[in-house]
Amino acid sequence: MSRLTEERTLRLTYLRYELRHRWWQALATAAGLAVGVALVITVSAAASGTRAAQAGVLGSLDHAASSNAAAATIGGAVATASGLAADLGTWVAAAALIASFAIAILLTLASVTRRVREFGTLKALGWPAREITAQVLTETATVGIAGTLAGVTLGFAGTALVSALGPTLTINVTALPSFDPAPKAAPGALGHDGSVPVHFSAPISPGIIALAVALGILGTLLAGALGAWRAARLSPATALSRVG
Amino acid sequence: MYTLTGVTRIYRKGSQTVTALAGVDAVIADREWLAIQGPTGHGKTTLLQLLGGLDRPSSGTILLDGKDLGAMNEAEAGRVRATSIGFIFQTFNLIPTLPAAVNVELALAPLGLEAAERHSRVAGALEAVGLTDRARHLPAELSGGQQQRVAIARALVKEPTVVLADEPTGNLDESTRDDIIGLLESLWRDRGLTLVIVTHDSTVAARAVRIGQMRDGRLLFDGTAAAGGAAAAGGEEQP
Repeated sequence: MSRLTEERTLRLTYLRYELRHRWWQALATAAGLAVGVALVITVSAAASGTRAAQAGVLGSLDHAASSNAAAATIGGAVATASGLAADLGTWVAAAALIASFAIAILLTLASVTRRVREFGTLKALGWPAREITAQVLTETATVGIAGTLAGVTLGFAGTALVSALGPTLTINVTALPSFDPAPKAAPGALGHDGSVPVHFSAPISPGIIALAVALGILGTLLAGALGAWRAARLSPATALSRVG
Repeated sequence: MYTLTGVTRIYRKGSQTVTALAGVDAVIADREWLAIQGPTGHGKTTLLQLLGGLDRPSSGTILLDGKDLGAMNEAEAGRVRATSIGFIFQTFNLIPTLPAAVNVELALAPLGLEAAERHSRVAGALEAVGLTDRARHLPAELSGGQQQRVAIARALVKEPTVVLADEPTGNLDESTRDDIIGLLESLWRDRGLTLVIVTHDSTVAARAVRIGQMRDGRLLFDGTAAAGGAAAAGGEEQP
């Protein structure tokens, strides 16, 4: 085997024991990322669901009376409300993402700090900085990928829960003034009493999954790069003199 | 062989400066066993770190077999450590999550050896320190003396020419200390190592071929700063 392959083999052995004996630290980091990724998926899907519900309500109003001033006013209010909900969801998702990145980065840096003497020892053994960097990146990437995959799974579960618990809105358009269901009522759109059900669901699109996975990988890379940079630039003498 | 000329190491912290080494001149011959004693804070560990290329002097030269360790960058010094210098620490510095054999194997990572060669060398090193049956044990499952034996195996597995030990028996009881020093002595003899031990313990120092005293950042032999280590060592017992 080539030298690089041999180095990789030993690095993976190191990784295997690290994960086995420091599993709770790895779990905490992975869980932080997983929660962020899951929230991004769930909130994004819920925002899509809100927009779909909005379209459903507006469609019903349109069926009822597209030229009616009251319908236009109500439609505007619905659009504003759903827009606010979607905006709020976006902010919640962004906050969750930042929090999860911060957790992953802080836990990775804490791990590097705790292992300063270990990295100092590796340097004393002659390990080049690139090899220590690769070790930290391998560990962080493994944890990050596991956290991202767990987050995607949790995201599916979260959106299923939101869809299951989401309300079904019933729009009663007969209450609108000048309602005349006959001219524009599409078959099946309105009930005999002028009401239309609008089901709320949170659909997951491939785009949402791609976004969440990309963000999870970005968080992992950020955490790994910062941790590896910190480990690699340690002076061996300073690292070895660290107590504990 | 080490040749140290005018080695100083000054640490700066803000406006304050601390002179850890104040012009050390010394020669450490091949296959010599040198013990360095002295009070805490007089530069023993700093000198050992410079001998190991873990730190660089503020001025002066540290030649190891003709190459100036002090002028090397970290990558170059790392290569010298990987191939030629073994370290033994007071606190063992084993990686707590790795079994003894993997701890030893880590010293071979920079050499790019094939797995079979690595495993053969690790088995040989653990056998040399009498720990073949502890290869799969984690450091926490070993006694202090056994942990230091693993650390000695890790220092020796790369087949270095120099072993630097910083208070190797500082955390051990007397009986274990004697075992460890006996082991180091036999390995020094059998393998023709250059062995430099920093120690507070006069019993340990008395086993060495030559004793140097660190005082205020200077290395003294028999009360005087001396550069004639090789000549002094030449008449001493050699392996």
